[in-house]
Amino acid sequence: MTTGKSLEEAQRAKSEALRVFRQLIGEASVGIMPLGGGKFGLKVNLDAAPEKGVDLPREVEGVPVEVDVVGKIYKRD
Amino acid sequence: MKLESVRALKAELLSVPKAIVEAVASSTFLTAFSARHGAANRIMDDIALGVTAPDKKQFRLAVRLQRQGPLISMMTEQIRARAKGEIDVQYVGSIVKYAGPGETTAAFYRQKRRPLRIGSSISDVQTGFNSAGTLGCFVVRRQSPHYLGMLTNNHVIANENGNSAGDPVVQQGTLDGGKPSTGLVGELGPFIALKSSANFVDAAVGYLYEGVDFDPRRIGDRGALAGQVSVFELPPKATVYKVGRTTGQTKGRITAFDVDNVRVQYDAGVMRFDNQIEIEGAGNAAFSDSGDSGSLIVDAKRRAVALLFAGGDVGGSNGKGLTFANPIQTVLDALKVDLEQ
Repeated sequence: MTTGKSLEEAQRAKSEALRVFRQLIGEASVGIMPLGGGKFGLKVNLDAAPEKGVDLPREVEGVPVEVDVVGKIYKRD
Repeated sequence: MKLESVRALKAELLSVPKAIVEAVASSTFLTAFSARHGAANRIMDDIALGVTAPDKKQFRLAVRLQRQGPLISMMTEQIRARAKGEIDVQYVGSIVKYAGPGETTAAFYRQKRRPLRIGSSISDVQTGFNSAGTLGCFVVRRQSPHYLGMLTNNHVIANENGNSAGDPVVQQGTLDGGKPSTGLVGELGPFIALKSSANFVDAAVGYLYEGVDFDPRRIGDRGALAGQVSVFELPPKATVYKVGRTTGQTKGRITAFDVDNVRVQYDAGVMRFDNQIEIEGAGNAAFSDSGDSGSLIVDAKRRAVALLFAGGDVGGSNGKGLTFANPIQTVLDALKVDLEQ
């Protein structure tokens, strides 16, 4: 993973990351991931693992991306 | 008084001088001599003594009363006389240890709790369907009249927009055996309607009925709720805690914030949430499970951070799933309430 970026840079890249991941694999959620030292990356959550051969970006607009397969999210009652 | 004088007087009083016992025992409040003596000897069990400093040079004897009544008043007056009036008296009520047996476990929070406790099982009342979520914390309406309320999720007490203001709220939740006849604690107040476009909160308030005893601040064995804090003010991967109806007290860490497009499965369908906080459990445990909805999430300093509402069973660095929560300030602003302090 590349070095993190500032909070403002990560926030600016968030909507682009959402667009890119939606285009590649459908739905995804994207958030800001604190990396320490005032640096931030993007956290991308997927419902399911991408199909073989789908190459997911490791950074968007220079902001590092971490991908997690989290399954479906349910209300907690 | 000088500090040394206050300390000396405190030590003297804590050994209950015979003169004070005699003075109280000779009062006419209790008729039997032996009863008067017994009560006077035990009375210091309800009075705590300390030192207080109104300014940097002068000290006073701090007198903290756990009970009120004629004997306590008489004893207080005796202490006042001994201290030549230099005392600071406050009634503080019963002092109990913060976490008794089971106060971090799920079983504790599924039971009927009076006073009501943060983390307790709570629900609405629906014919033919039982449910339970979590009472997050206590709030007060910003505008007059400043009603007291119980903060939780829309889907816990407003049935995903299906209920109306005034509908009953019970503790414990109906899934845990709560009934309107024995568990009615309030009624549905304001809630934020869930909608098909982007949501920011899943939140509702149940107005607390008068006379229902509640503990506004205690959070498991963490201590007392101490205000609120924004996720932006916390260190990276900040440690957080919650107490909830299903998993009791758990520890986790914030792994992301400002999370957009969190798609949550409801009975009414999939709802999208933006600007959410993501948390994973510490160690090898999940941070939450079904029934923990509505839990208040606090940081290590017991400041409210977020309101738990959703989660999954997969993902996170320990593979136990992620929990999602609404930022607490967004929740409070949406409902026009503040934390009860």
